[in-house]
Amino acid sequence: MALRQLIPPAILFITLLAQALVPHLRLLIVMTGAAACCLATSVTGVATTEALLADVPWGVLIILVGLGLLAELLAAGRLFGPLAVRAAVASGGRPQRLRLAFAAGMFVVSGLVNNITALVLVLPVLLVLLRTGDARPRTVHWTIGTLLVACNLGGAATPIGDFPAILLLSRGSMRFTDYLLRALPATVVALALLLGCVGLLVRPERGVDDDPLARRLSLAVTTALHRRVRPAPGPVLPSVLGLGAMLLAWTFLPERLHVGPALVCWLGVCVVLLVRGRQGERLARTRVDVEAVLFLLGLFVMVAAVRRAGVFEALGDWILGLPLPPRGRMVVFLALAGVLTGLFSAGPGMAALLNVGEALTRELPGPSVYVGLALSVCAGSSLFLTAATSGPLAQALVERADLRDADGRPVHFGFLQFLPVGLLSFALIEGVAIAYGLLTTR
Amino acid sequence: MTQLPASLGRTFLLAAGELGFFSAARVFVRETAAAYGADGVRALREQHGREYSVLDAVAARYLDDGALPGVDATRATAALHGASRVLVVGFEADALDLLVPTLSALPVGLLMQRSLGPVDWDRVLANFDDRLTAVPFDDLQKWAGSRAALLTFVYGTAGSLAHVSSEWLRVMGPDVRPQFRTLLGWDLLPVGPEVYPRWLANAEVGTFSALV
Repeated sequence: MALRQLIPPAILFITLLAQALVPHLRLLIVMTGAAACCLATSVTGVATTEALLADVPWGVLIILVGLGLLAELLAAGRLFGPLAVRAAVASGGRPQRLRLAFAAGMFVVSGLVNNITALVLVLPVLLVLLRTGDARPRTVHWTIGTLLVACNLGGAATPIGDFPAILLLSRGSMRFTDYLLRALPATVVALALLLGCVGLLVRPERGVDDDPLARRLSLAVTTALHRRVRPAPGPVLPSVLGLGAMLLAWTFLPERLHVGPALVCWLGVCVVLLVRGRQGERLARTRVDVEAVLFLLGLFVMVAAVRRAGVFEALGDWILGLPLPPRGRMVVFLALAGVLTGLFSAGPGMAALLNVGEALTRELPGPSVYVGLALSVCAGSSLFLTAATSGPLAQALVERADLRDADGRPVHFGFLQFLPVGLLSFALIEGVAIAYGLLTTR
Repeated sequence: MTQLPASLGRTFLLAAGELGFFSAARVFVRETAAAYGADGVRALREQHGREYSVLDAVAARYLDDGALPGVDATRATAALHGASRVLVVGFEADALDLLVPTLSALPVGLLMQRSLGPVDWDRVLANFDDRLTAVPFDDLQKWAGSRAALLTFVYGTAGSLAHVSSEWLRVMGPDVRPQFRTLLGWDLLPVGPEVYPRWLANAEVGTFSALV
């Protein structure tokens, strides 16, 4: 490989490493890395900046921004808070049932809205329950940790839940229903395995006596704090109807019309926001997640530079040249994808690996490779607290909640506390990803 | 004696931050009575009453009468008749749940000031379906006016002193008093606390234009 081909991947690697090591500067680091890639490819004649920008999958960014705004409207409609309280009441305040109810709820919510919004909508109710009830460290770590992993799994379950699946959808790698019908059952299996392992093997509440008054108080206070919070029909109805219409369009619009997923989202969200008038305008002006858009734009530019340099093609050829049967090569690829995502987080992982994965589809069915890849990326996102953006947010929310155990000592939730949950989740989800790949390519 | 959860006192303080001392006390006495009966409520008084005077008073009322102290917004509503807007200082969920719907024609503000720890104001306001406006401390003057009213909650009186939340003392100064027509104190515990009112402050009864 020529030197000019090696410069873009070297910049990409250094940038990803730097943003993982210095997360508080990650946006600036990624944008600088992208500019450096543009400079390198321009000077060496690999590609002009205009060519790299033309390679950016703008549809992904449109879907991310559109669904983000829709999620903001749903949040303004207070739809999920009352549902979370109902789940808490249904669980009777028992920690194990609470974990089940909230993990299942988070799985569903994060399948519809992005993970950050899902977390912001659901976690506060759980934190109130933990603050007023059972805040023993082991319970807190496994309950919130499981919730985070359920959030990642929910995001991987639908084509609109999280970035990796949105990328598959908007690039046309998979159609909406094709992805949903394959990924949803696989993620449900992974969630059931995780909850089963936590409930039956880890048993975070073992050796602790049940205190009925503590449970009663915890539920009573949580209910009182949300006593009259009701979904506001104004924002909720247009959001739900708009999302329903988009789902129908993604599923049933014939390809010959050339109305892609991004255009469906673009139009749908604009109509929903227009229906809300001033509120819609205010959301569009102030609530676009600029940080996520710029971060992904920078990544896409770097990935485009690496692709133009022919590196992904070479990597794909290398994987195809491994002295293994095709399914063995897929297992190696999926395992690598999981570990790399754990180190570099889901956005970079998926953006780069999808290009390599496409090589595997020359000898294996595309859906098996793509869904396996999305599940592996989900496994990697669940490995460390820092691997997904929802992790640091959860950490901040928990610290702000000032949880304390029965003796008044602060209960922390950070990298080390999440690690046991992450290792178990990674093993289970990666196992499901590989099993899915093997079973569907028999 | 009935063994209560070790974290109960801290949980009570958390609840009081977003519900108010009186409303939180009603929840805690109700739930303790439901779980352990009068013995539980007696244990609640014994173990936490000295720390939280309002909890002690509500538990005492329950043990005397077999019922929680009630809340009636009739007199407060009448005292606010003719006001053009009402700014609430301090917070009591049970009281405001009754009062706010009766003031349907008036703008009602809630001063975003609590001394009991972090408060999720979005959650607090969401319970009132946009009928309460959050008012930062710096905007206090914007709510003043010749027909404006300030309302706070009183937790019993002792002679010329009324037990109030400390936010009231931050607001109530000689410069603020002339800017509001009505300074209403709504006494939720007319019998008053039997123990030293820790967590509360004292204000002269005479500073209120009406105490109901």
